[in-house]
Amino acid sequence: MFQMTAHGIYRKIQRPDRSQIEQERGLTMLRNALRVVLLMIVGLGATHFAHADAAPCWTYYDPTEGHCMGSGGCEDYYPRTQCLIGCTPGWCHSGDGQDDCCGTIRLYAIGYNDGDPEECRSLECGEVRQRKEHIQSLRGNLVNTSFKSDLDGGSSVRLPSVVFVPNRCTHAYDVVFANFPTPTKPTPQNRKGL
Amino acid sequence: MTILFRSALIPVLLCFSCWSQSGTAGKPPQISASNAVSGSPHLMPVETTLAPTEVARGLGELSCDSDGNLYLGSDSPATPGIRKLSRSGELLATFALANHSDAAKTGIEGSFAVSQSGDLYALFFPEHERTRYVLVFKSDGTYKKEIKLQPGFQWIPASIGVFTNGNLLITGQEFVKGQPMAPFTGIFSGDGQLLKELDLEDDKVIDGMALSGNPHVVSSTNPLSNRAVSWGKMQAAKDGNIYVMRWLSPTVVYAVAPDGKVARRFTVDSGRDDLMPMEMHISDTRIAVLFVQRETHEKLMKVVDLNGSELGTYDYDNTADGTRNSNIVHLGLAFACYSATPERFTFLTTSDDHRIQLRLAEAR
Repeated sequence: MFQMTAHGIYRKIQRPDRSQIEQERGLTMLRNALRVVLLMIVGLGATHFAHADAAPCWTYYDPTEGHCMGSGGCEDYYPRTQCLIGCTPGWCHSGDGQDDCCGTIRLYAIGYNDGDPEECRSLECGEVRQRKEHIQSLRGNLVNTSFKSDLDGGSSVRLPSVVFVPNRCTHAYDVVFANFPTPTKPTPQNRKGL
Repeated sequence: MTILFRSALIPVLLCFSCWSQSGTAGKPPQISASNAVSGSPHLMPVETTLAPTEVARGLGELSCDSDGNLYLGSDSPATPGIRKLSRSGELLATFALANHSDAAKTGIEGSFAVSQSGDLYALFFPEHERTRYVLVFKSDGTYKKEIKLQPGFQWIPASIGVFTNGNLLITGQEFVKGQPMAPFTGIFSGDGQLLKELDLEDDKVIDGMALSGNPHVVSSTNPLSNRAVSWGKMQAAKDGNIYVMRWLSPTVVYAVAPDGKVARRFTVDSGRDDLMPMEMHISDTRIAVLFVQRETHEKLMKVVDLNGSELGTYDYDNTADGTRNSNIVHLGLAFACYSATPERFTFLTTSDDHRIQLRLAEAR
């Protein structure tokens, strides 16, 4: 085998033996395999992050209802709910909800909480900020993972969680409150008068 | 930790009726439900003006300025923009929020307020941003500037007021992961910086109501939003304070001073907890609050002074037994403006061909 030198003269180079060739082939295959794996990792990561950037994280904008009027003295309210970028994984469709208000169809948004909960994690949805007054209020009152409150007579309260189950028939959520504390009878201490 | 604190309030707040009853403790006995309507003086229509050109198939947010000009928010996404009408219903200006001159953002318009100088400040939610803005327009509808609100967390502002010094009072809700949003109220500078966060007395109670799923403030279709906040109202008065009303019955009103201190807190009680405060308008030293029963549309107008002392209670559109009277000219649900001197209430209705009608009413 000849190789062109910098001076334009071909020189013969030493041909390696078979075992050396096979060893180099093995190393090359290993390097290629590693490249493929790396590319796959980068590709999957890019896909993941690209998906996260475009994550359909939504919330409702829920202003006061609109008023409508119609013949025969009809008057009513109609929802004006709209979709915003927010913190609920899934999709929100602007016109999925319909309301007949005095004979005029009004469209409003319906959101579906059927996305991957991890998709909205990057949006700082209530994870970063901790309200200082809440933290101050908690000092001295925090007992492990339950909260002892003088409002409920000192009993521990389990954390509730809200679960939304989309109902495709009604185009609305069924709301389930899990781990919900048992209601306690209000006492003079825990009533808050207005 | 926030979650822990909020959960502690739940047992207290499961019983809204107990809470609202406690709010009336110490007051004179309230008039009963039926008497609240039939025993009150009435608002009677005294003048109807047909707008020359403007039509509406629905009405969104309503406001007015001290000159009696009316501001009509968008009634649906299909008809964006805010319209300014004169007392006689002529179109004076249109505030086109989605086509303002900064980068021509598209988005959703929110609540708005008119400053004493006549500028219009409107909350704006760009379609592809999580940042919330306030768009400012001159009184003739020309775009002035945008204010990027920078509270430092994700939130949804609900209503806005403008102090005479140019600072903004905004109340809304802050995202809390996996739970209903938490009430937030703050004063922002004219460039959108959060200057002060306010600690309103009842916010923890209101927050707990949403956490407990109390149907008075949380809907099944939007369980993460607290309507005590998102359906509240806000307006500046001539005393320099901004009055913040929560969507509760009895409703709670805070007079917030420009320095952020709560000058006063009072309640306005319709006497029935099923009548909800749907509109609030302020004129001089008086506040008019329209309470409506959302199913039957029974209506009751309460007028109080800036300390919350009752000045008048009026019903309208009803017969003596509290049912809807089909033999009279109706004022409807769209209470658009209140004038203290002379005392006039302006309502908007539409004609059969959808033209806007302005109906003035007086107490009789």
